[in-house]
Amino acid sequence: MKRKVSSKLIIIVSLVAALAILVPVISGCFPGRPAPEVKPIKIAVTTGVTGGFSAHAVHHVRSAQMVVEEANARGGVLGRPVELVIFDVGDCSAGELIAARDALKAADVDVNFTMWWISAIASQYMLETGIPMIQQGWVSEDWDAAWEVKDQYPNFLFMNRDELGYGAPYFQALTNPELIPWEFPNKKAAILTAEGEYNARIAASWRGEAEKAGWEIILEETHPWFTTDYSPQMARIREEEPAIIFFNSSIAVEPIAAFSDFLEDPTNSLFALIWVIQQPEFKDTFGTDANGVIGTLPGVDFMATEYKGTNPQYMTHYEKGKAFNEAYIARYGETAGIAAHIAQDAFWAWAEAVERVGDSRDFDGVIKDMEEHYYVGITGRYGFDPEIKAGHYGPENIPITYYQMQDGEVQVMGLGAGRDVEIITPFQLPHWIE
Amino acid sequence: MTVSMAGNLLIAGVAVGAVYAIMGLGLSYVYGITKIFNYTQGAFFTWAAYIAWVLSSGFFHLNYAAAVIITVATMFLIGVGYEKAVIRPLRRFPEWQMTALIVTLASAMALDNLALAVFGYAPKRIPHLIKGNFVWGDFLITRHEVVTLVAALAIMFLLILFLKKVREGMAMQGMAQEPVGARIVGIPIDKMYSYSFGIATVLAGISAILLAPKILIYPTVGWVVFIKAFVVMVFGGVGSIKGTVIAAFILATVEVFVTYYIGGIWGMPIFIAVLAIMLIIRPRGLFGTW
Amino acid sequence: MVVNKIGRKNALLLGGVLVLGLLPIALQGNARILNVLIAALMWGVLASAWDLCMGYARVFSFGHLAFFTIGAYTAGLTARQLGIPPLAAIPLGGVTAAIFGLLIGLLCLRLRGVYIAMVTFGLHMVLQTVIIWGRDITGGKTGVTGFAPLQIGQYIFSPSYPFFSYYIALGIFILLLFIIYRIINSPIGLAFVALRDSEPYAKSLGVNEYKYKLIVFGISAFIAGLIGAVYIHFYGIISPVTLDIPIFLMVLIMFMLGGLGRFPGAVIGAFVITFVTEALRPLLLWRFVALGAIVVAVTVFIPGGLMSIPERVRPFIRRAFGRRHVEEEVS
Repeated sequence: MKRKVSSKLIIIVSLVAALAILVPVISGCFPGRPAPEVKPIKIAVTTGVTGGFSAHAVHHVRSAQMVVEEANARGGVLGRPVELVIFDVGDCSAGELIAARDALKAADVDVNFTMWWISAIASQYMLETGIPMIQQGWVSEDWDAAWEVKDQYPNFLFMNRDELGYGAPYFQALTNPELIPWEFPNKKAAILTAEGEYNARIAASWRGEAEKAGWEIILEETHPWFTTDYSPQMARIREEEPAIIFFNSSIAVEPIAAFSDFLEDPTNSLFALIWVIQQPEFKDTFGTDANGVIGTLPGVDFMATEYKGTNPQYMTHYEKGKAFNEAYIARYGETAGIAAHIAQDAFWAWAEAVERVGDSRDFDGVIKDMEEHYYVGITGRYGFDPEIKAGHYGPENIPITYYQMQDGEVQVMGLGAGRDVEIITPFQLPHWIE
Repeated sequence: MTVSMAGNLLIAGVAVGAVYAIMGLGLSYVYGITKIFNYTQGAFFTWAAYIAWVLSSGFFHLNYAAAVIITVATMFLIGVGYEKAVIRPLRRFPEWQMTALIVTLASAMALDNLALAVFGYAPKRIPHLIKGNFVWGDFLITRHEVVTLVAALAIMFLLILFLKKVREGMAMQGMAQEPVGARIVGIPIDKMYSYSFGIATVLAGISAILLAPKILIYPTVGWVVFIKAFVVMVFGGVGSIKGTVIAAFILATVEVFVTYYIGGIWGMPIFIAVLAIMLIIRPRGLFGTW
Repeated sequence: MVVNKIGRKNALLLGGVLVLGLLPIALQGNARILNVLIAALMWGVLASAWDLCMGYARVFSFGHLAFFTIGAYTAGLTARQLGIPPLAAIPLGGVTAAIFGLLIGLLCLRLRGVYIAMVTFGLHMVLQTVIIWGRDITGGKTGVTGFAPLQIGQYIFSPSYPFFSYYIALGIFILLLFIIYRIINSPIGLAFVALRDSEPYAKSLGVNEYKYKLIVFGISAFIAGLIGAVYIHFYGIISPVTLDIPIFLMVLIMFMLGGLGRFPGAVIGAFVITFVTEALRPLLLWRFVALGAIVVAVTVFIPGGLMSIPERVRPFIRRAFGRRHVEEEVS
C-alpha cells in the first residue's frame, strides 16, 4: 500500500518540481538588462565568431570595438553613447541563425552590421527582425535572399558588389600589359577553386574571360574547404608549367599550403590569389618568400603602400586608411584583415546618416538618407544605388585594387578595374621566375 | 600522363601514407589494448603541432631538435595524465568503453576550440626536419619525406618488437586478449592503460611533427588527419600493426591519384568507397584479428 | 491506483509530455525560448532514433546525420521541383532515408562494430561530396530553399510563428517517440535485450540478429529522415553545413550524455545540450570549449549518463528516509 502512494507522490512532486525549476531556469538563461539613464545607441555585429568564418570575423569584431570607442570619444551618435552587441551565427546552420536572430530581436538594437559564410536564408532571417541590415560584402546568395523580401523589409544595404571583381575583370587585369609587363611564356592557366557557390561563380567568370582571350585551362579543380595538401595539383602544374596559377579561395590556410608546396619546386608562373592576400596570415607566414604573389580586392586598402599620386579621392582613402591601420596595429599587434576596413566605413556612413536624419529609430529615413548621400571612407566612396540596394560600382566609387607582395609587404600595384588601371607601384618579376 | 608523373605521384602518396600509418598505429594501438575509440587522437595531433610551434618558432625559439624532443616527452605526459584524470575514473563502471567514447568526443571538441581561442585561425608553420630534396632524373623526393618514411617503418618495427619481446609489451597484449586473466596473474592494469595512452599520444605527436610542415597547423587540422587515420585503421584490420601500415600506403596512393585525375573533393569519398568494397570482400579488414 | 496500473515509468513519461505541452503557456509565448525548444524537440527525435540503433540494437552507426540530411533534401527538392505539398513531402523524406538505410544495412550489418561505423560514415562523407558536386540540382554549398512552407490557415510552420510551430513540432515529436518507445518494448526490443545479455543463448533460441538489426536500422533511418524533412520545412533551408563535424559531434554527445540505451535519455540529453549551448552563447569563442569541458566533467562524475541519476540517487534517499528498513521488511 505504501508503495502505491509513493508512486503517486513521486509523480506529483516531480511534475510540480519540473515546472517550478524548468521555467525560471530557462528564462534565466536569457537575462534582461536594467535600463541605463541615457538610452545608448545600440549597434549589432552579426558574424560567425565560432566556426570556419572565425578568421575573418575576428577582424570584423575588433574593428567594431574600435569604431565604438572612437564614436564615444567623439561624443557618441546624436549625443548618445554607442553600445556594441555581438551575435554569433557560428557556421551559419539554420539553428544557429535563428538563435542569433531571436537574440538580436530581443536586444532591440538600432542597426545590424553583418558578415558571414554564404547563406541563402540568413539575410531573410535577419531582416524579419525589422532592424536595418548593412551587409559588408556581396555574395549573390545573400543578396538574392534579401531581394526576395525587399517589398516587406526594404531596410538593407550591401556595401559593395565585390564578387563581380574577381572573375572577368581580374583576368583582364592580369593580362593587361600596363599592369603586368611580363611576356607570358605560354597561354596556359590553372584554376584551383575552393568548393562553394561563391568561388564556383568567380571561377566560371574568370575561365570564360580566359577562354575568350584564347587561353587554355590546363587544370580546373575544386577542393574541399581547409584542404592543405596540394601535392597532386602541384604535380600537374609542374608538368604543364602554366603561365598563370589562379588560386580562388577565401580561406587563408589553403593558398598558404598550396604556395608552400609551390615554392618547393616553382615553375615560371604568376601566382594569383583573390582577396586572401589582404589577410595578415599570408604576409606573416611567408615574409619576403612570397615576393611576387598577386592579389585583388574591390575597394581600396593601401596596406603598406605610400600613395604618391594626385587623385584627391584616393588621397582621402590613403590618409584615412593609414591612420586606421596604424591604430589597429598599435592595438592588436597585427595588420587588419579585409573585414576591418569595410566595418569602419559601414559604421561611419550609417552614423553620418543618423546625424542628418536626427533619429536612429527612423529606419526608413536613415536608409533612404544613405542612398541619397555619399560617404568617402577608407575603402571607397559609398553611394548606394536604390535600384539594387548596393554600393555604386566603378573606379570613381569603389575601385578594384591590384596587389603584389614586394619586400615582404603587400603593395598596391594599381587601382581601377580590368583594362583601365592607374599604376601605383610598378610590377616586380616574382623571384621564382627565371 | 608520363612515367615521371606517375612516379612523382606515387612518391607523394607513399610520403603521405607514412604519416597516416603512424597516426593510424596510435589509434589501432589504443583500441587493440584498451578497446576505446580515442577521438581525442586528432586533437592531440593538433596540440602536439602547436606545442612544437610554441617551443620553436612561436615563442621560445629553442633549437628545433630540442623542441621536437620536448614535444614528444610532453605528449607522453599528456597521454598518461589524460588517462589518469579522465579515463580511469570511468573504468569502475560497467560498459565504460561507451562512456569513454563520449568523453573523448567532448574532449576533442573542447581542445579543438581551445586551440582556436588561444592561437586564432592564422595558420602556423613548423620547419621541415631536414631541408632539401633528392633528385633522381625526373623524380623528386624531399629529404623530409624520406625521414617520414623511415620513421613510419621504424615505429612499426619498434611496436612489433615492443609487443613481442618487451615485458610491458607482452603484458599489454595479454591484457588485450584476456583482461580478467591478466589481472589474476598480477599485471598492473592501471599502469598499462596509462602507458598505452601515453604511447598513442606520442605517436600523434610524431605524426604532427612529420606532417605539419606540409599541411600547416590550424585549429581543426587534427580532425582531417584523424578521420583518415580511422579509415586506415579499419581498412588494415583493427589491432593489426602490419595491416595498418599497408592500408595507409594503399589508401594514400589512391587518394593522390584521385585528386590528380578527378579533383580534391572526391579524395575522401573514394577513400571510403575503396574501404566499403574491401570490407565486403574481407569483413575484418586486411589483417584483422577479431 | 491508476498510476500503479499504467506503471511508474509510463506515468513519468506522460508527466513529461504534459510539462512539454504546458510550457509555451507558462512561457507566455516567449518566441526566443520557444524556437530553442523546437530545435531541442527535433534534435531529441534524431538523437532518440540514433540511440535506438546504437544503444538498443548495438549497431555502431555513424550514418544517422546522413539519413537526416537525405530526408531533408528529398523533402525540399520534391517540394520545390515537383510542387509536392509538405504533408506528402515529409513522409517521402522519411521513406527515402529508410530505403538508403536498408541498402546500407544490407551491405554492412553483418560486419562488426567499427566496420559498420566506417561504412555508415562513408555514406556521410560521400553525401557531402555528392551535394557539392551536383550543385545544379542540390544548390551545392548553399543548399535548398524556396519551396512552399507547411501552412495551416494563416499560420506557417516556421521560426516566425513559434507558438503554432511548437505544437506541430511537439505533435510530431510525440508520434515519433511513441514509435520508438513501442519498438523498444516490442518483441524486437526484447530480442535485443536477450542478445545483449547472452548472445550465444539468444541465438540458440533462434533469434535472427541480422534480420532484427536490419528492421531497426531501417526504422531508425526512416525516423531520422522524417525529422530531417520536418527540419527543412521549419527552417526553410537545408545545406551541407548540417553534415559538418560540429553538428555530428553535438548529436552524438546528446544521446550519449542522456545515457546510451536508456529511453528517453536521448531526449533529455538533447534538451540539456541545446539549452546549455544557448546559455553559453555570450561566451563567443569560448562557447564550445566550455560545452566540451562541461560534458567531460558531467560524464566523469555520472558515467551512466543523466538517466542513471535516479538509480544512483535512490540508495541515498532510501537511507535518508529510512526506506531501506521498509524494503527489508517486505523481503
